[in-house]
Amino acid sequence: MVMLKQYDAALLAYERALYQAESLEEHFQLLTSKSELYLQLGSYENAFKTCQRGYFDQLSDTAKLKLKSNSALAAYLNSEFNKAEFELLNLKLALTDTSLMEETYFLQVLIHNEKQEWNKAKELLLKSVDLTEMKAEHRDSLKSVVELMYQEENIPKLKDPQKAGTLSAFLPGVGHLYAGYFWEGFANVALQLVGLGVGGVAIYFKYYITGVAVGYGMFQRFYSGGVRRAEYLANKKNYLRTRSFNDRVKLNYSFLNRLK
Amino acid sequence: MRYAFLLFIFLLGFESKSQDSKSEIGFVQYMISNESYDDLLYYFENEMPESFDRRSTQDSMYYYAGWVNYFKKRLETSVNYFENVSSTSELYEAASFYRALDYTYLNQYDTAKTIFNEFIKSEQHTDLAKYELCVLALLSRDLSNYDSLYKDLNKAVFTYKKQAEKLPSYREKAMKIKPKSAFLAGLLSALVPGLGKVYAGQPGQGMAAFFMNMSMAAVTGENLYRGGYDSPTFIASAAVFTIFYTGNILGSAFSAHNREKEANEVLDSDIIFDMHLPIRRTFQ
Repeated sequence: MVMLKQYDAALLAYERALYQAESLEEHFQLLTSKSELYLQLGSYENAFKTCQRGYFDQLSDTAKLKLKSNSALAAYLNSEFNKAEFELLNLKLALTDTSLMEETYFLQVLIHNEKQEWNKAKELLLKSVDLTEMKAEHRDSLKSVVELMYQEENIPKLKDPQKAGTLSAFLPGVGHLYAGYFWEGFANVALQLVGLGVGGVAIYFKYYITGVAVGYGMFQRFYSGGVRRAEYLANKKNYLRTRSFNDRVKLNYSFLNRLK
Repeated sequence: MRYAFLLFIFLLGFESKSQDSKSEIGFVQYMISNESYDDLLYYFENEMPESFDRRSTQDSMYYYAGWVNYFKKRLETSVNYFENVSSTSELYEAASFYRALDYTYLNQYDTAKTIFNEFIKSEQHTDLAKYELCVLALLSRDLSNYDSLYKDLNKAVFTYKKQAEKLPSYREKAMKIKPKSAFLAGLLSALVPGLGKVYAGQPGQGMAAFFMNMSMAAVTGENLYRGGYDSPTFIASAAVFTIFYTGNILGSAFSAHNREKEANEVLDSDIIFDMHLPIRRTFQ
């Protein structure tokens, strides 16, 4: 059904199979498959809910790992990073063999990166390298890659949206510049100057009311819009930088996995 | 011997069909308990068997289908399923109450009223039906009818005691929602820009509209004084002022119309929720 893209029918078929499941193992397998189908369909909330239906306490360690990893992944993909972290914490507490948590290191690294907890992310990545079976010299060089990746100058430099707004409030366009959008800042300053210019010209020709109402009106709108825009751009830049950093981490981690 | 064998085969077939029905009901109940409502909707639309060996099973299926569709606010489909529950079924009363709720959500208050009145006539769930009729009168803003029904209502019944206590406050809120005349709002904004918005209950927007229109009027006046009525700056500013002025009149009329509608919708959704709760409690 999934191959034929009959997803609704497939989800119902999983539900029927769950109803008829005769063992805990079968029930767990079906829940996992259904949650994975939801993840594939981008229905992260349903994927999370499905994972919560498992008889978690009665499952084996590997089954617990699979189910909670899926629910943490669903929460992560739904941008609920604290919830994802909480799921993994619950898993850690529930496992008798805590070494299984190593399987979740990658997800944990991504969550820490999203929460800008760079040191925690780096520690986990270094632990992952330690767990690989390879020559000591190779391991050391991989570790140095991780160290390099998380060096002060390589971790995303995040912009303070409030600072961007304040800068644009005092010096129009500077907040945009701070957020890394020079031309937008330039355009904003130009429009504010046009507003002031219109006002100035009108007053020069003794159109005092027009000068104040039209000129000031234009200037004020571009000025306050510029402050808000600078804040938005700082947030946008933060998102893009974190995303690009996470993509680099994913790339290096998949390389590490291949080595494993 | 041959007849006995045929009878055995027949009974075997009957038994397996009966098992199937049981398992289908169980499956639906399983999905309800797991809140798999989307799967249920797909099941009822595409996979529910057309007929069952026992009428009671069929009725249960129609009831569940009606309930799930009601829950997902697919009200017309819900009504169709509830209507198919036979009057001999033990689920008939629940189906009828929920069907009345469907009609209430669909703003077909008279049909809902007829259903509740039938319960009073047949002396079944009389207190609950009276409560629902009372709430329905409030929803229809038939306040004199509501007052007399509320007075006679047995307010000690557990299933709706808390909800019944809230009804007087809803009545008060309904009284406070004064109908606003769109014409009057437009007229007021024509006389004093923004005043129509103040009348419609949006003082902030009214003030903003007043200052905007006054500035544009001042600009237009200045351009008339300086450049004369045929100067391009006067024509341009007068055009802009006209747009602002007429736009504000129309905006005020729409605001007056929408504000009353929105206030009623918010109140009605609270009232309907308190109509739903006692029914759900009674037929859990």
